[in-house]
Formats: sequence, C-alpha cells, structure tokens
Amino acid sequence: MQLILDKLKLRYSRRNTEIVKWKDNTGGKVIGCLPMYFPEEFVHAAGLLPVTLFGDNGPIAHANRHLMTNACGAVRGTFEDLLLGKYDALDGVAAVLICDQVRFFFQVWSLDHEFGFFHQMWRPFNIDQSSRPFLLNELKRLKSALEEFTGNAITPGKLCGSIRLFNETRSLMRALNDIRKTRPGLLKASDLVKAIAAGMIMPKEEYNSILKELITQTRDSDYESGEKPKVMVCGHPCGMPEEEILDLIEEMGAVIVGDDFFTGSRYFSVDVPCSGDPVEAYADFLLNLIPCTTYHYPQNWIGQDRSLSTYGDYVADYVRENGIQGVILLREMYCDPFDLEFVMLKRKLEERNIAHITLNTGHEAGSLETQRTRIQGYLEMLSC
Amino acid sequence: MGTQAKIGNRLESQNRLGKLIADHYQEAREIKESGRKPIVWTTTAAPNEILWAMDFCVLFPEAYAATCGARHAAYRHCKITEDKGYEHHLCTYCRNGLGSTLADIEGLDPFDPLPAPDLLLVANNSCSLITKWWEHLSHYWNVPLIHIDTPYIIPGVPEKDVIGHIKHQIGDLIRFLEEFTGKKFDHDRLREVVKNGSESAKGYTDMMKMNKHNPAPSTYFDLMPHNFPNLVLRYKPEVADHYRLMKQEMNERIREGIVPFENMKYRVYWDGIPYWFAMRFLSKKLQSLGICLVTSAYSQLFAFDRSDPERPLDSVAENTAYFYLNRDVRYKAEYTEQLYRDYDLEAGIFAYAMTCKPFSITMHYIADYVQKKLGVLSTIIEGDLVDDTFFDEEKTGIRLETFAEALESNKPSVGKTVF
Repeated sequence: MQLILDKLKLRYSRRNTEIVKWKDNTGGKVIGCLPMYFPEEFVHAAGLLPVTLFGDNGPIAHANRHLMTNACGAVRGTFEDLLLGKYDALDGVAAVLICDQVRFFFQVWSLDHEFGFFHQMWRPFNIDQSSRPFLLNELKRLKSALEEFTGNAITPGKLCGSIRLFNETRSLMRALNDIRKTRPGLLKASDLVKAIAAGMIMPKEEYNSILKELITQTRDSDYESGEKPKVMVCGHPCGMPEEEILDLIEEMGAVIVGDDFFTGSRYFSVDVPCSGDPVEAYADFLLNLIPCTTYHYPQNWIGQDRSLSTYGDYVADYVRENGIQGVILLREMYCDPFDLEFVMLKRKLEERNIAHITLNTGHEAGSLETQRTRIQGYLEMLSC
Repeated sequence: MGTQAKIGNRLESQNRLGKLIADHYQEAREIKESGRKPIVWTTTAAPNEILWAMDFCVLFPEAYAATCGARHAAYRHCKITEDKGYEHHLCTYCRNGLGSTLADIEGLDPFDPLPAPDLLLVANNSCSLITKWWEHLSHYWNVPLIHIDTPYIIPGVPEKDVIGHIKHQIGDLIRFLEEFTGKKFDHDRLREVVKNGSESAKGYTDMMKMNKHNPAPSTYFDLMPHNFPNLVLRYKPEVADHYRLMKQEMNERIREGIVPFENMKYRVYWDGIPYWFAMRFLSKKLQSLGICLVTSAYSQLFAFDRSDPERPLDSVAENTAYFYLNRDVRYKAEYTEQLYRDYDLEAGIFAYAMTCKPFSITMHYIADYVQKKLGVLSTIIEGDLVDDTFFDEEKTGIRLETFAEALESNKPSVGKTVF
C-alpha cells in the first residue's frame, strides 16, 4: 500500500517532468488548468491531457518582481513556475476566474508568454438557477475553443465518455476517503492529498487502475485503528496544503478524517450527472458543488432566515455527520475570500459548539514549532 | 514646462462640492429619522439608476470609506474589525465599512455613520471581495442583500451575453424591489433618472478633460473629489450644472494663465486609488518637487458614460458591465497609454494599495507597458486606501524625491522604473 502511495507522491513531485515524458511517449498535447473548478472533462474529450497547476512551495524570487508579496501563495507560486520555465512544455493554460487575484492577474500570463491555447472562464458568482444560461454559454464557448484548437469535434458521446471516466476517478477518490473515516489513521492525510493531487496531473485512465489497486491493498491491511481525536481540516482553498502541517497534526495524536481541500473533498464530492445533454449536465454540476468561500448563495441572503455562512453550515454538518471532534482551520496568507468567510465560519462553529483552532499557512507563515505548541494545546483540550 | 504664470486660489467649485456632499448626508439623516423612504447601501457601479427610479435613499459605503480615510477616522474602524477576527491585509474600504457598522450597532461612536440600511445591493464588477463585504453587512444589519453577478469583460466572451446576463438580473431586481416596496416600477421615471445621469456624466467627462491643457488649470488631486456628484447624485438635474460651472471656472483659469501652484515642471500620471489619509502630505510633497498630477484612469471608474435615456435599461446594464475595473489588463494598459498621449504626460506614479488587489495586482504590468511603449519614467509607491499603517511617509518622500531627480536628469533613466 505504501509503495503505491509513494509512487503517486513521486508522480506529484515530478509533475512538470512527467508532462514532458507523457508528451514524448504519446505525442499528445497538455493543457494546464489553474485551480479550481475548471471543466477538465471538456479538455479530455477534445483529446488533450488536462493537468492541474500547483505552484511550488519554495521561495518566490522572480514573481516578486511582478507581484507584491500580498498576492497569495498559489498565484505567486504558479507565476514563479511560469517564469522559471517549468510550464514550457504546456500547450496551453486555462482557468476559471475564481477570485480577484486570478481574475485580474491571470491574463498577464498570456501577455508575456505565447500559449497555443489560453482560456479564461467565468463561473457566475451567484450560485443559483439565474446563472445557468450564462454558465451554459461559457461551457459552449470552452467547447468551441477546444474544438478550434484541436480540430477535434467534442461530440456528446465523447463528452459523456470523459464525464464517466472522471466520475469513476471521483468515485474511487471517495472510496479512498471513506477508508480514513472507517479506519482512521490507516492513510496519512499528507499521503492522501498527494495521492488525490496525482490524479489531477496524470491521465485518468492510468490513475484509476492504480487507485483501484491501492483501495484493494488498504482493504487487505491489518492495521488497527486506535482511539484518537478525529478532526476535520479546512481551508487553504486552492493549493496543496503543507505536508508538514498535516503530518504535525497527526504526529501530535489526532487523526484527520475529513477535509474540504481542493486536493480532497472539494474535488471529488460531487459527480457530473450522466443523463441528458452532457453540456447541460455539466452546468448543473457546477451549480451543485459543495459550498465555496468564494461564491455567493443568493437564496441565503434574500430571505428572512439567513445563515451567517452557507460554507460554515457545510463544515458544521460534515463534522456532526462524521462523528468528528474538532476542526483545524488552515488559513493561507492573503486568501481574501477565505479570510472574510473565516470570521463567519468561526462564529458558525462556535454557534454549533464545535471546537476549532486556526493555523496560518502558506509562504512565510512562520515556524512549525509555534504550530506544534498550538496543536498540542488544542488536542489536549479535545481529549478532555 | 517651467512657468511664471499666476497662481490660482482654491477652485470655487470646491465650496460648491462641499455643500453638495453635506446636503446629501444631511438629507439621508433626515430620511432615516422620518422613515419616509427606504435606505439602500450600494456599490459604485451597481445598476443604481433602478434604485433612484424607485425613490430609494441610496448611500455608498465606498465613498464613506474615502471620507473616513481623509478625516483620519478609518484606522479606528479598521481596528474594530481586527478585534473581531478580520485580517489586517483585507481591503480597508471593507474593514472601515464593517468597523463603522459594528461600532454603530454596539454603540461605539463611529465617525459620522451612514444611516442604517433597509436593503443592500452589490455588484461584483469591482471585485468579488465586495460581495463578501456586503454579505457581512447583510448579517450585521439583518437586511436582505441582492447581488448582481457581472462577468469580467475578457477576450472571447460575447459582450452581448454579459449585458444580457446583467439585464436579466436587473429584471429580477426590479421584481424584487416592487415586492419590497409595494410599488410598481416606473419606467418613465427611470428614463428621467438616466437622462439626468447622462448629462451629469457628460459634464464630468468634459470637466476632467480640461486638464489636457498645458499648463493644467488644476491638479488631478483637486479634481478627483468631484467624482462624488457623478457617483452619488447623478440622478439629480442640478449635478450637470455643477460640472458646467466647474468647466467654466477652469476655462477662465486657462484664459487668464492661472496655474495651481508655482514652479510646475512635470506633467505626471497617477495610477490607483488615492491614499486618502495622505492627500495633504502627497500634494505638498509633489508640489515641492514641481510635479503636477494631471489625470488618472481612476477617474474612469466614475464616468458612467454609457447612460442613454433612449435605451435606459440597456445603458444601465452597460455601465455595470463596462465598469473600468471590470475590463481586462490589456484594455487597462492600452487605456492608460492613450491617457499619456492625450494629456501629454511625461511620467507616471503608480500608487500600490496594499489591501486592494484589483487595482494593484496588475500595476507592475501596466507601468512596464507604458514605459515600453512610450519610453516614459515610472515609479511605484506603496500605501493603502484608508489605513495609514501601510504607509511610510518618509520612505515615500524619498522615493518621490528620487523620482523627481530622475525626471530632472531626464534622459538617462528613461524607460526604467525608479524604485
């Protein structure tokens, strides 16, 4: 089991060279997608390989000449990689304009660098049916752009095929995630997020077979779960959460049994419906994802019975439904949507009487020792 | 541009502006006391003509934030939000607004607070953070919130789809407001409001263009506060008169050779939202260095120049869609370049606001773009919208002095950013 996990982690850590290797082997083209919510199935149906772009967690040097340090780690990290030439093998890049930083900055990528394919997509911020016609047009525009780029028609049959393949990936990821709920501690959280992330950079056909084998091996494991406080870890919305923090939490005696990471539940919780027109189905999918700190849920704010946070409701319900004792909030520096939602999320957790702690993460977040002391105190409190 | 021209006193229009602002807030307070109209808090480029046509009292927390910044009251409001868990680096217009609200609700004596809202309207054409800000207002005031989603104008997205999406939401807004107020929407009144807005917008734009004259009859910082009438009061017919009189006053200055300060040497562009708390310092410093700020793309935020009474609903939707911040970086860079050409500018000061990403995140790119295109000199200074803890007066002063030295020595450093 650990061998497969290590293999997936290696694929993740070598993600940029893997792209070159894949292209050499197949002669195919690769589109890099910035987190989050980009309709990868459309890219796949056009005969391309979609890969998610994760910036390095290392020091930022080149990007700082173009961006102030108050840009978030994901934006600075990916731009740094672009400037370092790590994305030179990509045939194109694409993004849903999910937040102000991506919205206002992403186009700069295309102004200084030649990409064969460059696509910006607007997922309406009102998550309700009023957004559906515009969203549908955006999906049709993406489909046309990909068809023009590749010369391949994205037929309903091809798109349905890609959707089924990606649904299978999500279903396998959910199965893996369920293992940590039923057998807490068997899978380290830091292994799991990288195993999920590997699926976002590898061909799904290959990845799904590896994941099936991994799930089989976990079932065969004789690991005995001990009695440890179960926690959910939230936040750090777009990027890869730091391995060190996740390991620290588990080394200190807790077991992470839930998250809402992009490299976690946020990616695999919901499937695209397989019936009817696949473009229409995809619009429904994008309107039915788990709540996100970036978006607006109109029905909550018009009526009389407003919840102070739709996202907070989701987290609190997840905690209660899964017998979780507490929540650890990872707060990435300079992520404005999360930082604003964070205030309401904390109140929601207080309102629902859910113990929680906040750890700052991201570039220049501070020492692990400080985090260690805070986690220790928190876990002692949970154990009381 | 050295000159021996006469030095002008403060523009008479500044006094008239002061009265327009004071009357607006006084009227809002009276409305709150009497309850004769519902009060709505809205954002700069939401489809606000709909609200005026429905006879709402319409207030702008962003304009209020600028006032708090200029009056050195914002820091206290921002501090209140930090105590409540809001991060220091979040937009300080937002933190000022939430801090003032929290202070008002908790009886902590905010600075001249806006009368409490009955309704909230927000459009995300300036940023998506503003939607979250308004959600928090909705929570604290316990009033309904309507959000207008405004897709970014990007290459490939048919603009008619963006306008259509906004217009559809305006239709939903009208239906909601009819239910909220119990009144039928009056399309004739909307046409009248848009007509007033169109005349006000034309007056504003014409007035701003007076600084194309060399020497400029006024500094950009003197003109900048006059965005207030076109933003907040353009539904009133008298606002066009304000701009007409102002243009007249500036014309007189040009005729008589009056300039705003002695020893004006350089015609310079300003980029970004002003540091409201530092206007006096910056004005004095720039004048001492002979730098005359002439214009800024910031003014375009308040142009509302699509208003057309022949197409009231469409033009309201267009103003919302084509809001300057909702344009992509290539458009902004080209627009800025054109300003340099139209106003005969020789350099630019790019004012990075540490808590405003929409304005600041592409600032390096735009500064580089105009430098490459025009061979002009640029400098980037660092500060913030209303929170002076992000601003270092001494460091900024030194940077501006260095910039002036580079301007003085002229050619060797042309095409380079001065840091």
